[in-house]
Amino acid sequence: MLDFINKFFRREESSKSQAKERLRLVLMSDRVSLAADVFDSMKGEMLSVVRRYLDIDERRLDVHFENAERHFLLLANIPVLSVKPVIAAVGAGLGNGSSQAAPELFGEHGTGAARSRRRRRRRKHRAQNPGQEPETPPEET
Amino acid sequence: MPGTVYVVTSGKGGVGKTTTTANLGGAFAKLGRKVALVDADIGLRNLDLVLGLEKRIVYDLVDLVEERCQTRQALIRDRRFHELYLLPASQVKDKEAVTEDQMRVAMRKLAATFDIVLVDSPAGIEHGFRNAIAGADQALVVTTPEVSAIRDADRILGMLGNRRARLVVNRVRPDMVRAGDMLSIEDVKEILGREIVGIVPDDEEIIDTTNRGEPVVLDGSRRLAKIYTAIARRLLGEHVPFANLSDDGLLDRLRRLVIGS
Amino acid sequence: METHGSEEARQPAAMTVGDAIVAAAAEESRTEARVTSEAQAKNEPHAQSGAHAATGANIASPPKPVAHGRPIVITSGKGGVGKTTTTANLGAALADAGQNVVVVDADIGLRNLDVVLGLENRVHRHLLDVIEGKSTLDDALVRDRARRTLNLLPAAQNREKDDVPTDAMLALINDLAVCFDYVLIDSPAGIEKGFRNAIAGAKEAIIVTTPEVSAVRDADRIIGLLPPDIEAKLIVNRVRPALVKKGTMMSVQDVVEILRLELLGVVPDEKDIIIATNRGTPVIDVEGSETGAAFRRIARRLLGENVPIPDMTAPEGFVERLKTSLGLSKSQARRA
Repeated sequence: MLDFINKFFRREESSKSQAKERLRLVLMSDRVSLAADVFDSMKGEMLSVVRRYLDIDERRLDVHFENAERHFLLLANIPVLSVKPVIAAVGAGLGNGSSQAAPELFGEHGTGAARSRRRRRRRKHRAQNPGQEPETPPEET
Repeated sequence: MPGTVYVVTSGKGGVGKTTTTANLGGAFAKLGRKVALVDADIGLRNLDLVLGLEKRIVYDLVDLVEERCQTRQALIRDRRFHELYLLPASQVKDKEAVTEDQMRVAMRKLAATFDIVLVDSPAGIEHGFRNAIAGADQALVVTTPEVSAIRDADRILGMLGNRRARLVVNRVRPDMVRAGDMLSIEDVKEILGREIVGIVPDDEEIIDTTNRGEPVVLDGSRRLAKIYTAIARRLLGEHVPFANLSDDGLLDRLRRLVIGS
Repeated sequence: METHGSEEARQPAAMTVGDAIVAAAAEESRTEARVTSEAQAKNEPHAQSGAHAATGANIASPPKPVAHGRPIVITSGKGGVGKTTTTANLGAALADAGQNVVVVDADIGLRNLDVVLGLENRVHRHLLDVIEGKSTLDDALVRDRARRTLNLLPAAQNREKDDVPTDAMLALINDLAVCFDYVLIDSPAGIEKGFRNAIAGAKEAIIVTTPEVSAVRDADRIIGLLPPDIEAKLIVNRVRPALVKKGTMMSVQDVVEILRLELLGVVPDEKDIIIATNRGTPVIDVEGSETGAAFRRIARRLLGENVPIPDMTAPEGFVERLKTSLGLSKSQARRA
């Protein structure tokens, strides 16, 4: 039924706009499947960045491309086991007094934003690991 | 200075590779270049037919590659042009008869004596296609503004390695583009992301000229002849603006109204 | 997957001397009809290349469920003449007539049957996954939502045709013929491995051509490459009646005379087909489309109905049209 409704409304579009949109989606799918090894490298690189900040559950990890009706998606389900202590690079955006670069540096309390981030992470961690005590980040300075 | 070997390919069949090869070759010849056309569609040859040379075939690409004849014996000279030669495909052997290395060697040999070598690729991505691109420096990818053709062209573009690849958009129907029933040239450029070197309108003259084996470039006054010449000139490095197809379409329609189809 | 076909893959099936003579004779008469005259006498025994796929039935195998379905390959030689469009539209029309249909995209690496049917977003598994045991057939089949008895078995996009062993294709088609009334196989262009795989398991062939010299020549070649036990019929596509009248385009009759195949149908050339493909709907769904109507008539003929083929270039009178279409349908079958 949804398919029919979709096609009915699309009739208002010119057929060439439909063609263009369909091509956009199908080519993404084709290009990814054609260069599977390239995209495996991409996924690998992505995950290495994630691993710098989070300990992830490698066995339940799932990163893949998916064809949906009108979208082509990169889906990543990455279970987080714990959040790594962040060692900020000296001089990386601190000189100008910005507190956004590495909020943990400002101690346990840090900025309000950092506090809500930590709260969210603890909530998420608790949700994914019921019964476990959330790890508290070690104090900086 | 060796000549340039272009492979004319597409992925999708029936979009106009052979017609493009024949007419572009003729256009180069009329511009004074020494041209060799190679039919790499072993088993399903058609370049000879489009050029009207089918009755003059004695030796073919497979004979040459298997050294049963000299190059000059296999090449058929088309006397309607200044210096245009055809190396026909073998109709009998299948595509596994020639290897990619053999193609590379054969194309190098041709490039040594010709300014331009155009290799007419078969449709698809199988052995025949791989042979056709093996000896080529650059690629001309022919497509039409239709979903399947563009999809296949995209695939082929990904298989050409480091070769320079440019697009020829064939069978354009300006009336349909205006009505939103056909992808525009801008759409094609956006989707495939490559330089367009030729825009060829859909024209029933092609059917007629193919039937008679007289490539349309023979008559320099025809609209299509001018378009193929423009493509040749662009490939030779000239900056040639694209003709406005819509205007011609209008004139043609007016003419048809008056003469009555 | 049945494994009896693997014996066959090792060597071409032996032909009796009688078979070889008949096949060679057929090839001879085909050579005479060709437009090209070849200066050399190179008489390859073409029949051999066709023999590979032909003899699956001869090999002794354990009793299996009766395959009641009709496996039909849609092929042409020349690319771009309308094989995929024909497969999609005939499949849809047969499904409308209540048949259980699977359309198989055998154009591995350059798939388009999915796009012509508007199913490209729902393709997850494909033919190669099934053959390699990575997917069940059920998971790979895409069922059309508008036509519940129309199913698509998609091609793999990122693999090569060399990856499919012919005997595996044969086994797959046989399996499909058990489950479906119609198995329509969309062949790739050309005469290479992809084509050979597409005809594996087919019992009938629909040769699609347009009324243009290159297409007719290639169709002729392909007919010569079909094994003798595949029954072949002809569809002449992209007919432009105005050009035929002008004498610019060959007539359907011209094409039938050259190819000497029984005519299954004639399909006119129209803008509708481009618009329909843009939208991903079969052209038989386009209101008032003559192209769509032609495909529907062909489906009815496949189902055994006697539907006269309208002569699109005949003068308007009913009687003339009827007479001419009777004349057309009396064209001789190629193989006695």
